[in-house]
Amino acid sequence: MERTEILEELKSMMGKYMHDEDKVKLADITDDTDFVKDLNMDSIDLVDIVIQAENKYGIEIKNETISKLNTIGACLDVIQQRLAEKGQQSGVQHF
Amino acid sequence: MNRVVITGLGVVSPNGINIPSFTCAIRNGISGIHFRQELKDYAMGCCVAGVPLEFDEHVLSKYLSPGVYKSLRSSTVKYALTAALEAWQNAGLIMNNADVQPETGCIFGNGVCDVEHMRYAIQMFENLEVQKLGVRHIEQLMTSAASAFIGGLFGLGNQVMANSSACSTGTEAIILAYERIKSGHAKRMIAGSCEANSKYIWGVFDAMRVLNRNHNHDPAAASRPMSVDSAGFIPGCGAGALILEELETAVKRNATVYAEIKAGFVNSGGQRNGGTMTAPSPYAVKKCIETAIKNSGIHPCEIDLVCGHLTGTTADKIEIANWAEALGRKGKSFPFINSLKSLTGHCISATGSIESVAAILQMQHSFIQPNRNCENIQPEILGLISENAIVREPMEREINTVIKANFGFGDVNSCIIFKKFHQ
Repeated sequence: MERTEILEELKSMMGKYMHDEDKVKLADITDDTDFVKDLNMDSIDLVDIVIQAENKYGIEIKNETISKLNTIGACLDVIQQRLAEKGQQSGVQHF
Repeated sequence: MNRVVITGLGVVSPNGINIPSFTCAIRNGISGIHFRQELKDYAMGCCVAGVPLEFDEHVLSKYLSPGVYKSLRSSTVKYALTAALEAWQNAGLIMNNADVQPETGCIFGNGVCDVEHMRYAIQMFENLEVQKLGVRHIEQLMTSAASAFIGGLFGLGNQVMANSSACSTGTEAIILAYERIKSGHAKRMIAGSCEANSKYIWGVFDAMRVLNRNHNHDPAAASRPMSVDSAGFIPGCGAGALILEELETAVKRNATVYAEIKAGFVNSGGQRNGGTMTAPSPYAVKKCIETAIKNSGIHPCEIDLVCGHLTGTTADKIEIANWAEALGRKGKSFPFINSLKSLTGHCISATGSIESVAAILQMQHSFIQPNRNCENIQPEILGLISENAIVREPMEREINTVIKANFGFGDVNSCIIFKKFHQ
Protein backbone atom coordinates (compact mmCIF):
# COMPACT_ATOMS: atom_id res chain seq x y z
CA MET A 1 0.00 0.00 0.00
CA GLU A 2 1.37 3.39 -0.98
CA ARG A 3 2.56 5.73 1.78
CA THR A 4 0.53 8.62 0.32
CA GLU A 5 -2.59 6.49 0.38
CA ILE A 6 -2.08 5.61 4.04
CA LEU A 7 -1.37 9.28 4.80
CA GLU A 8 -4.65 10.37 3.25
CA GLU A 9 -6.56 7.79 5.30
CA LEU A 10 -4.67 8.81 8.43
CA LYS A 11 -5.53 12.46 7.82
CA SER A 12 -9.17 11.54 7.46
CA MET A 13 -9.07 9.73 10.81
CA MET A 14 -7.14 12.56 12.49
CA GLY A 15 -9.60 15.20 11.30
CA LYS A 16 -12.30 13.72 13.50
CA TYR A 17 -10.18 14.42 16.58
CA MET A 18 -9.05 17.95 15.70
CA HIS A 19 -10.49 21.37 16.41
CA ASP A 20 -11.87 23.08 13.31
CA GLU A 21 -9.24 25.82 13.52
CA ASP A 22 -6.44 23.23 13.56
CA LYS A 23 -7.70 21.19 10.62
CA VAL A 24 -6.19 23.62 8.09
CA LYS A 25 -2.78 22.43 9.29
CA LEU A 26 -3.48 19.03 7.76
CA ALA A 27 -2.79 20.51 4.33
CA ASP A 28 0.86 21.22 5.23
CA ILE A 29 1.85 18.21 7.30
CA THR A 30 5.16 16.46 6.70
CA ASP A 31 6.83 13.41 8.21
CA ASP A 32 8.20 15.64 10.97
CA THR A 33 4.82 17.03 12.03
CA ASP A 34 4.26 16.29 15.73
CA PHE A 35 0.72 15.27 16.66
CA VAL A 36 0.69 17.09 19.98
CA LYS A 37 3.06 20.02 19.48
CA ASP A 38 2.16 20.94 15.89
CA LEU A 39 -1.43 19.77 15.53
CA ASN A 40 -2.60 20.45 19.08
CA MET A 41 -3.93 16.91 19.43
CA ASP A 42 -4.41 15.03 22.71
CA SER A 43 -1.94 12.13 22.92
CA ILE A 44 -4.70 9.82 24.14
CA ASP A 45 -6.63 10.45 20.92
CA LEU A 46 -3.61 9.28 18.99
CA VAL A 47 -4.01 5.88 20.66
CA ASP A 48 -7.60 5.80 19.39
CA ILE A 49 -6.39 6.58 15.86
CA VAL A 50 -3.81 3.79 16.06
CA ILE A 51 -6.52 1.35 17.18
CA GLN A 52 -8.64 2.41 14.18
CA ALA A 53 -5.66 1.89 11.88
CA GLU A 54 -5.06 -1.55 13.40
CA ASN A 55 -8.66 -2.52 12.70
CA LYS A 56 -8.67 -1.00 9.21
CA TYR A 57 -5.45 -2.65 8.04
CA GLY A 58 -5.66 -5.84 10.12
CA ILE A 59 -2.34 -5.19 11.81
CA GLU A 60 -1.14 -5.06 15.42
CA ILE A 61 1.04 -2.35 16.91
CA LYS A 62 2.61 -2.97 20.32
CA ASN A 63 1.82 -0.69 23.26
CA GLU A 64 5.43 0.38 23.71
CA THR A 65 5.58 1.29 20.03
CA ILE A 66 2.42 3.38 20.25
CA SER A 67 3.94 5.50 22.98
CA LYS A 68 6.78 6.43 20.61
CA LEU A 69 4.58 7.48 17.69
CA ASN A 70 4.94 11.22 18.13
CA THR A 71 5.12 12.23 14.46
CA ILE A 72 3.29 11.56 11.24
CA GLY A 73 6.40 9.94 9.75
CA ALA A 74 6.84 7.56 12.70
CA CYS A 75 3.20 6.55 12.43
CA LEU A 76 3.39 5.91 8.68
CA ASP A 77 6.63 3.96 9.07
CA VAL A 78 5.09 1.58 11.60
CA ILE A 79 1.89 1.06 9.61
CA GLN A 80 3.87 0.34 6.44
CA GLN A 81 6.21 -1.99 8.30
CA ARG A 82 3.36 -3.96 9.87
CA LEU A 83 1.57 -4.18 6.50
CA ALA A 84 4.73 -5.54 4.93
CA GLU A 85 5.12 -8.12 7.70
CA LYS A 86 1.48 -9.09 7.30
CA GLY A 87 2.01 -9.52 3.57
CA GLN A 88 4.99 -11.79 4.17
CA GLN A 89 3.13 -13.87 6.72
CA SER A 90 0.11 -14.38 4.50
CA GLY A 91 2.20 -14.91 1.39
CA VAL A 92 0.54 -11.98 -0.36
CA GLN A 93 2.78 -10.43 -3.00
CA HIS A 94 2.82 -6.67 -3.51
CA PHE A 95 3.74 -5.38 -6.96
CA MET B 1 -2.89 24.11 64.54
CA ASN B 2 -2.81 20.56 65.90
CA ARG B 3 0.02 18.15 65.18
CA VAL B 4 -1.19 14.98 63.48
CA VAL B 5 0.35 11.54 63.92
CA ILE B 6 -0.29 8.06 62.58
CA THR B 7 -1.04 5.43 65.17
CA GLY B 8 -2.53 2.54 63.20
CA LEU B 9 -1.98 0.77 59.89
CA GLY B 10 -3.99 -1.81 57.97
CA VAL B 11 -3.63 -3.25 54.50
CA VAL B 12 -5.02 -5.71 52.00
CA SER B 13 -2.42 -5.71 49.24
CA PRO B 14 -1.67 -8.08 46.37
CA ASN B 15 1.58 -9.06 48.12
CA GLY B 16 0.36 -9.12 51.72
CA ILE B 17 -3.07 -9.34 53.28
CA ASN B 18 -2.11 -7.83 56.62
CA ILE B 19 0.65 -5.66 58.05
CA PRO B 20 3.07 -8.49 59.06
CA SER B 21 2.87 -10.27 55.68
CA PHE B 22 2.97 -6.99 53.75
CA THR B 23 6.02 -5.80 55.71
CA CYS B 24 7.82 -9.04 54.92
CA ALA B 25 6.88 -8.80 51.23
CA ILE B 26 8.01 -5.22 50.70
CA ARG B 27 11.19 -5.67 52.70
CA ASN B 28 12.20 -8.60 50.51
CA GLY B 29 10.78 -7.47 47.17
CA ILE B 30 8.12 -10.17 46.92
CA SER B 31 5.67 -9.73 44.06
CA GLY B 32 1.90 -10.15 44.36
CA ILE B 33 1.24 -10.22 40.61
CA HIS B 34 -0.27 -13.37 39.13
CA PHE B 35 -1.56 -14.74 35.84
CA ARG B 36 -5.36 -14.45 35.67
CA GLN B 37 -7.03 -16.93 33.35
CA GLU B 38 -10.21 -14.89 33.55
CA LEU B 39 -8.48 -11.95 31.84
CA LYS B 40 -7.26 -14.21 29.06
CA ASP B 41 -10.74 -15.68 28.65
CA TYR B 42 -12.10 -12.19 28.17
CA ALA B 43 -9.54 -11.47 25.42
CA MET B 44 -7.54 -8.91 27.35
CA GLY B 45 -4.02 -8.18 26.11
CA CYS B 46 -2.67 -7.97 29.66
CA CYS B 47 -3.55 -11.19 31.51
CA VAL B 48 -1.75 -10.58 34.79
CA ALA B 49 -2.86 -8.53 37.79
CA GLY B 50 -2.08 -7.76 41.40
CA VAL B 51 -4.72 -9.61 43.39
CA PRO B 52 -4.61 -10.48 47.12
CA LEU B 53 -5.20 -14.17 46.48
CA GLU B 54 -4.97 -15.19 50.13
CA PHE B 55 -7.57 -12.65 51.22
CA ASP B 56 -10.10 -14.22 53.57
CA GLU B 57 -13.24 -12.21 54.25
CA HIS B 58 -14.33 -14.64 56.97
CA VAL B 59 -12.89 -12.38 59.71
CA LEU B 60 -15.66 -9.89 58.92
CA SER B 61 -18.33 -12.36 60.03
CA LYS B 62 -17.33 -11.66 63.64
CA TYR B 63 -18.13 -7.96 63.33
CA LEU B 64 -21.11 -7.73 60.97
CA SER B 65 -24.67 -8.90 61.46
CA PRO B 66 -25.42 -12.23 59.73
CA GLY B 67 -27.71 -10.48 57.22
CA VAL B 68 -25.06 -7.93 56.24
CA TYR B 69 -22.24 -10.47 56.09
CA LYS B 70 -24.27 -12.91 53.98
CA SER B 71 -25.07 -10.23 51.43
CA LEU B 72 -21.54 -8.79 51.15
CA ARG B 73 -20.65 -8.95 47.48
CA SER B 74 -18.53 -5.84 46.83
CA SER B 75 -14.79 -6.49 46.97
CA THR B 76 -14.15 -2.78 47.62
CA VAL B 77 -16.21 -2.96 50.80
CA LYS B 78 -14.62 -6.25 51.88
CA TYR B 79 -11.06 -4.98 51.36
CA ALA B 80 -11.81 -1.61 52.98
CA LEU B 81 -13.49 -3.09 56.04
CA THR B 82 -10.70 -5.61 56.56
CA ALA B 83 -7.94 -2.99 56.24
CA ALA B 84 -9.78 -0.55 58.50
CA LEU B 85 -10.36 -3.25 61.09
CA GLU B 86 -6.68 -4.12 61.15
CA ALA B 87 -5.69 -0.43 61.42
CA TRP B 88 -8.15 0.08 64.30
CA GLN B 89 -6.79 -2.91 66.21
CA ASN B 90 -3.22 -2.04 65.27
CA ALA B 91 -3.77 1.36 66.88
CA GLY B 92 -4.81 -0.34 70.11
CA LEU B 93 -8.36 0.96 69.86
CA ILE B 94 -11.24 -1.10 71.18
CA MET B 95 -14.54 -1.87 69.50
CA ASN B 96 -17.35 0.02 71.15
CA ASN B 97 -20.72 -1.24 70.04
CA ALA B 98 -22.77 1.00 72.31
CA ASP B 99 -21.62 4.59 71.86
CA VAL B 100 -21.11 6.99 68.99
CA GLN B 101 -17.62 8.49 68.80
CA PRO B 102 -18.19 12.15 67.94
CA GLU B 103 -14.51 13.04 67.67
CA THR B 104 -13.67 10.25 65.22
CA GLY B 105 -14.46 10.24 61.50
CA CYS B 106 -13.51 8.52 58.28
CA ILE B 107 -12.43 9.56 54.79
CA PHE B 108 -12.16 6.48 52.61
CA GLY B 109 -12.05 6.91 48.85
CA ASN B 110 -12.50 4.87 45.74
CA GLY B 111 -12.67 5.43 42.00
CA VAL B 112 -15.81 3.51 41.17
CA CYS B 113 -17.83 0.92 43.03
CA ASP B 114 -17.24 -2.78 42.44
CA VAL B 115 -18.41 -3.05 38.83
CA GLU B 116 -18.65 -6.84 39.15
CA HIS B 117 -21.36 -6.24 41.74
CA MET B 118 -22.98 -3.55 39.59
CA ARG B 119 -23.03 -5.96 36.65
CA TYR B 120 -24.83 -8.54 38.80
CA ALA B 121 -27.51 -6.00 39.70
CA ILE B 122 -27.85 -4.84 36.08
CA GLN B 123 -28.15 -8.40 34.86
CA MET B 124 -30.92 -9.10 37.34
CA PHE B 125 -32.64 -5.94 36.15
CA GLU B 126 -32.27 -6.83 32.47
CA ASN B 127 -33.65 -10.29 33.21
CA LEU B 128 -36.75 -8.59 34.65
CA GLU B 129 -35.77 -9.94 38.07
CA VAL B 130 -35.27 -6.64 39.86
CA GLN B 131 -37.89 -7.62 42.44
CA LYS B 132 -35.72 -10.57 43.43
CA LEU B 133 -32.55 -8.52 43.97
CA GLY B 134 -32.95 -8.04 47.69
CA VAL B 135 -32.29 -5.02 49.84
CA ARG B 136 -28.55 -4.86 50.40
CA HIS B 137 -27.13 -3.64 47.10
CA ILE B 138 -27.23 0.13 46.94
CA GLU B 139 -25.38 0.33 50.26
CA GLN B 140 -22.49 -1.49 48.56
CA LEU B 141 -22.78 0.24 45.18
CA MET B 142 -22.82 3.86 46.31
CA THR B 143 -19.53 5.74 46.02
CA SER B 144 -19.45 6.15 49.79
CA ALA B 145 -20.02 2.44 50.44
CA ALA B 146 -16.64 1.81 52.09
CA SER B 147 -16.74 4.85 54.37
CA ALA B 148 -20.37 4.12 55.27
CA PHE B 149 -19.58 0.53 56.28
CA ILE B 150 -16.51 1.65 58.24
CA GLY B 151 -18.50 4.41 59.95
CA GLY B 152 -21.09 1.89 61.06
CA LEU B 153 -18.55 -0.70 62.19
CA PHE B 154 -16.82 1.71 64.59
CA GLY B 155 -19.72 4.03 65.48
CA LEU B 156 -18.06 7.10 63.97
CA GLY B 157 -19.79 10.39 64.72
CA ASN B 158 -17.50 12.88 63.00
CA GLN B 159 -17.20 13.44 59.23
CA VAL B 160 -17.74 10.18 57.31
CA MET B 161 -17.24 10.51 53.56
CA ALA B 162 -15.68 9.16 50.39
CA ASN B 163 -13.35 11.09 48.12
CA SER B 164 -12.67 10.20 44.51
CA SER B 165 -9.70 11.48 42.51
CA ALA B 166 -8.65 8.51 40.37
CA CYS B 167 -5.10 7.37 41.19
CA SER B 168 -4.63 10.31 43.55
CA THR B 169 -7.55 9.16 45.74
CA GLY B 170 -5.64 7.33 48.49
CA THR B 171 -3.07 9.99 49.25
CA GLU B 172 -5.72 12.67 48.96
CA ALA B 173 -7.88 10.84 51.55
CA ILE B 174 -5.01 10.91 54.05
CA ILE B 175 -4.39 14.61 53.38
CA LEU B 176 -8.09 15.46 53.81
CA ALA B 177 -8.19 13.54 57.09
CA TYR B 178 -4.95 15.23 58.22
CA GLU B 179 -6.46 18.66 57.53
CA ARG B 180 -9.62 17.73 59.44
CA ILE B 181 -7.59 16.98 62.58
CA LYS B 182 -5.08 19.79 62.08
CA SER B 183 -7.87 22.34 61.96
CA GLY B 184 -9.44 20.97 65.15
CA HIS B 185 -12.62 19.52 63.64
CA ALA B 186 -11.78 15.96 64.66
CA LYS B 187 -9.40 14.20 67.04
CA ARG B 188 -9.10 10.93 65.16
CA MET B 189 -9.75 9.87 61.54
CA ILE B 190 -9.62 6.61 59.64
CA ALA B 191 -8.17 7.44 56.22
CA GLY B 192 -7.69 5.18 53.25
CA SER B 193 -8.90 3.96 49.89
CA CYS B 194 -9.89 0.81 48.07
CA GLU B 195 -10.03 -0.68 44.59
CA ALA B 196 -12.16 -3.60 43.45
CA ASN B 197 -10.95 -6.81 41.85
CA SER B 198 -12.67 -6.07 38.56
CA LYS B 199 -11.82 -7.18 35.04
CA TYR B 200 -14.25 -4.59 33.70
CA ILE B 201 -12.21 -1.67 35.01
CA TRP B 202 -8.93 -3.29 34.02
CA GLY B 203 -10.39 -3.97 30.58
CA VAL B 204 -10.94 -0.29 29.85
CA PHE B 205 -7.32 0.43 30.73
CA ASP B 206 -6.29 -2.44 28.46
CA ALA B 207 -8.33 -0.82 25.68
CA MET B 208 -6.35 2.39 26.23
CA ARG B 209 -3.20 0.37 25.54
CA VAL B 210 -1.59 1.39 28.82
CA LEU B 211 -1.23 -2.12 30.34
CA ASN B 212 1.88 -4.23 29.76
CA ARG B 213 1.06 -7.17 27.47
CA ASN B 214 4.59 -8.53 27.20
CA HIS B 215 4.93 -10.50 30.42
CA ASN B 216 1.85 -12.71 30.63
CA HIS B 217 4.26 -15.66 30.82
CA ASP B 218 6.21 -14.14 33.73
CA PRO B 219 3.81 -12.26 36.04
CA ALA B 220 6.35 -11.26 38.69
CA ALA B 221 8.38 -9.51 35.98
CA ALA B 222 5.41 -7.68 34.48
CA SER B 223 5.41 -4.46 36.52
CA ARG B 224 8.57 -2.60 35.48
CA PRO B 225 8.64 1.02 36.67
CA MET B 226 11.70 2.97 35.48
CA SER B 227 12.91 0.00 33.44
CA VAL B 228 14.13 0.45 29.89
CA ASP B 229 11.67 -2.19 28.70
CA SER B 230 8.62 -1.06 30.66
CA ALA B 231 5.56 -1.30 28.44
CA GLY B 232 2.65 -0.20 30.58
CA PHE B 233 1.33 -0.75 34.08
CA ILE B 234 -0.18 -3.83 35.69
CA PRO B 235 -3.60 -3.40 37.32
CA GLY B 236 -4.11 -4.31 40.95
CA CYS B 237 -6.62 -4.09 43.78
CA GLY B 238 -6.88 -3.97 47.55
CA ALA B 239 -7.11 -1.35 50.29
CA GLY B 240 -4.93 0.61 52.68
CA ALA B 241 -6.09 2.17 55.96
CA LEU B 242 -4.40 4.49 58.43
CA ILE B 243 -5.46 5.82 61.82
CA LEU B 244 -4.62 9.52 62.13
CA GLU B 245 -4.77 11.17 65.54
CA GLU B 246 -4.23 14.52 67.10
CA LEU B 247 -0.89 14.20 68.90
CA GLU B 248 -2.27 15.01 72.36
CA THR B 249 -5.01 12.41 72.05
CA ALA B 250 -2.50 9.78 70.97
CA VAL B 251 -0.05 10.61 73.76
CA LYS B 252 -2.79 10.65 76.37
CA ARG B 253 -3.70 7.04 75.62
CA ASN B 254 -0.04 5.96 75.26
CA ALA B 255 -0.51 5.00 71.64
CA THR B 256 2.40 3.82 69.52
CA VAL B 257 3.20 6.65 67.09
CA TYR B 258 4.49 5.41 63.74
CA ALA B 259 5.03 8.78 62.08
CA GLU B 260 4.01 12.40 62.03
CA ILE B 261 2.40 13.99 59.00
CA LYS B 262 4.34 17.21 58.43
CA ALA B 263 2.32 18.49 55.46
CA GLY B 264 0.15 17.53 52.56
CA PHE B 265 -1.04 19.34 49.47
CA VAL B 266 -3.45 18.62 46.62
CA ASN B 267 -3.87 20.54 43.38
CA SER B 268 -4.77 20.25 39.71
CA GLY B 269 -3.06 21.29 36.51
CA GLY B 270 -6.41 22.33 35.06
CA GLN B 271 -5.67 20.20 31.98
CA ARG B 272 -3.55 23.08 30.63
CA ASN B 273 0.19 23.59 30.10
CA GLY B 274 0.87 20.03 29.08
CA GLY B 275 -1.73 18.54 31.38
CA THR B 276 -4.65 16.61 29.90
CA MET B 277 -7.36 14.30 31.17
CA THR B 278 -4.79 11.48 31.27
CA ALA B 279 -1.41 13.24 31.56
CA PRO B 280 -0.37 15.42 34.51
CA SER B 281 0.83 18.95 33.91
CA PRO B 282 4.52 19.01 34.94
CA TYR B 283 4.04 22.54 36.26
CA ALA B 284 1.24 21.46 38.59
CA VAL B 285 3.11 18.34 39.74
CA LYS B 286 6.14 20.43 40.69
CA LYS B 287 3.94 23.04 42.35
CA CYS B 288 2.21 20.34 44.40
CA ILE B 289 5.52 18.87 45.62
CA GLU B 290 7.06 22.29 46.26
CA THR B 291 4.05 23.50 48.23
CA ALA B 292 3.97 20.37 50.39
CA ILE B 293 7.66 20.84 51.18
CA LYS B 294 7.21 24.54 51.92
CA ASN B 295 4.26 23.86 54.23
CA SER B 296 6.20 21.15 56.07
CA GLY B 297 9.04 23.45 57.06
CA ILE B 298 11.43 20.70 55.98
CA HIS B 299 14.41 21.43 53.74
CA PRO B 300 14.44 19.21 50.62
CA CYS B 301 17.91 17.98 51.65
CA GLU B 302 16.33 16.30 54.69
CA ILE B 303 14.26 13.96 52.51
CA ASP B 304 15.64 10.42 52.68
CA LEU B 305 13.19 8.60 50.44
CA VAL B 306 10.83 9.45 47.60
CA CYS B 307 7.92 7.01 47.25
CA GLY B 308 6.94 7.83 43.70
CA HIS B 309 3.84 7.28 41.63
CA LEU B 310 6.01 5.53 38.95
CA THR B 311 3.64 3.17 37.17
CA GLY B 312 5.79 1.56 34.49
CA THR B 313 4.67 3.75 31.61
CA THR B 314 6.41 6.40 29.53
CA ALA B 315 5.45 8.91 32.21
CA ASP B 316 8.10 7.58 34.64
CA LYS B 317 10.96 9.62 33.23
CA ILE B 318 8.84 12.78 33.24
CA GLU B 319 7.93 12.12 36.87
CA ILE B 320 11.60 11.73 37.84
CA ALA B 321 12.42 15.01 36.09
CA ASN B 322 9.63 16.69 38.04
CA TRP B 323 10.89 15.29 41.35
CA ALA B 324 14.46 16.37 40.61
CA GLU B 325 13.40 19.91 39.76
CA ALA B 326 10.93 20.28 42.62
CA LEU B 327 13.42 18.97 45.19
CA GLY B 328 16.33 20.86 43.64
CA ARG B 329 18.34 17.65 43.90
CA LYS B 330 19.86 15.92 40.90
CA GLY B 331 22.56 13.36 40.15
CA LYS B 332 24.21 11.98 43.25
CA SER B 333 22.33 14.33 45.57
CA PHE B 334 18.96 12.83 44.66
CA PRO B 335 17.43 10.82 47.56
CA PHE B 336 16.50 7.15 47.36
CA ILE B 337 13.41 6.54 45.25
CA ASN B 338 11.16 3.52 44.88
CA SER B 339 7.90 2.35 43.40
CA LEU B 340 5.74 -0.12 45.29
CA LYS B 341 3.99 -0.85 42.00
CA SER B 342 6.90 -3.03 40.93
CA LEU B 343 5.61 -5.51 43.54
CA THR B 344 1.86 -4.93 43.60
CA GLY B 345 0.97 -3.48 40.23
CA HIS B 346 -1.02 -0.27 40.16
CA CYS B 347 -3.88 -0.58 42.64
CA ILE B 348 -5.50 2.49 41.02
CA SER B 349 -7.60 4.31 43.63
CA ALA B 350 -6.16 2.13 46.42
CA THR B 351 -2.60 2.88 45.40
CA GLY B 352 -2.01 6.03 47.48
CA SER B 353 -3.13 4.50 50.75
CA ILE B 354 -1.33 1.17 50.24
CA GLU B 355 1.84 3.02 49.22
CA SER B 356 1.56 5.36 52.22
CA VAL B 357 1.30 2.33 54.52
CA ALA B 358 4.44 0.98 52.81
CA ALA B 359 6.24 4.31 53.22
CA ILE B 360 5.53 4.38 56.95
CA LEU B 361 6.57 0.75 57.42
CA GLN B 362 9.91 1.47 55.74
CA MET B 363 10.46 4.35 58.14
CA GLN B 364 9.31 2.34 61.17
CA HIS B 365 11.47 -0.70 60.41
CA SER B 366 14.42 1.14 58.83
CA PHE B 367 14.58 -0.46 55.39
CA ILE B 368 14.05 0.52 51.77
CA GLN B 369 11.75 -1.54 49.59
CA PRO B 370 13.67 -2.69 46.52
CA ASN B 371 12.49 -1.76 43.02
CA ARG B 372 11.84 -5.08 41.32
CA ASN B 373 12.34 -5.58 37.56
CA CYS B 374 14.59 -2.58 37.23
CA GLU B 375 17.79 -4.27 36.07
CA ASN B 376 18.18 -1.83 33.19
CA ILE B 377 17.13 1.70 34.07
CA GLN B 378 15.90 4.07 31.36
CA PRO B 379 18.85 6.20 30.15
CA GLU B 380 16.77 9.38 30.41
CA ILE B 381 16.33 8.66 34.13
CA LEU B 382 20.04 7.99 34.60
CA GLY B 383 20.67 11.35 32.98
CA LEU B 384 18.79 12.94 35.88
CA ILE B 385 19.61 10.93 38.99
CA SER B 386 22.24 8.53 40.21
CA GLU B 387 21.74 4.82 39.63
CA ASN B 388 22.42 4.34 43.35
CA ALA B 389 19.22 6.22 44.20
CA ILE B 390 17.19 3.38 42.67
CA VAL B 391 17.50 0.58 45.20
CA ARG B 392 17.16 -2.84 43.61
CA GLU B 393 18.15 -5.16 46.45
CA PRO B 394 16.72 -5.26 49.98
CA MET B 395 18.44 -2.49 51.95
CA GLU B 396 18.51 -1.78 55.67
CA ARG B 397 18.64 1.98 56.13
CA GLU B 398 17.36 4.44 58.70
CA ILE B 399 14.69 6.65 57.13
CA ASN B 400 13.60 9.83 58.89
CA THR B 401 11.66 11.68 56.23
CA VAL B 402 9.62 10.31 53.33
CA ILE B 403 7.85 12.26 50.61
CA LYS B 404 5.13 10.53 48.64
CA ALA B 405 2.99 11.66 45.72
CA ASN B 406 0.32 10.30 43.41
CA PHE B 407 -1.16 11.70 40.22
CA GLY B 408 -4.58 10.90 38.79
CA PHE B 409 -6.65 11.22 35.63
CA GLY B 410 -8.26 14.61 35.56
CA ASP B 411 -4.78 16.15 36.03
CA VAL B 412 -5.04 15.94 39.83
CA ASN B 413 -2.09 15.60 42.21
CA SER B 414 -1.43 14.89 45.87
CA CYS B 415 1.77 15.01 47.86
CA ILE B 416 2.35 14.16 51.53
CA ILE B 417 5.36 14.24 53.84
CA PHE B 418 5.85 11.74 56.68
CA LYS B 419 8.50 12.16 59.35
CA LYS B 420 9.69 9.90 62.10
CA PHE B 421 8.01 11.10 65.27
CA HIS B 422 10.01 13.12 67.78
CA GLN B 423 8.30 14.65 70.79
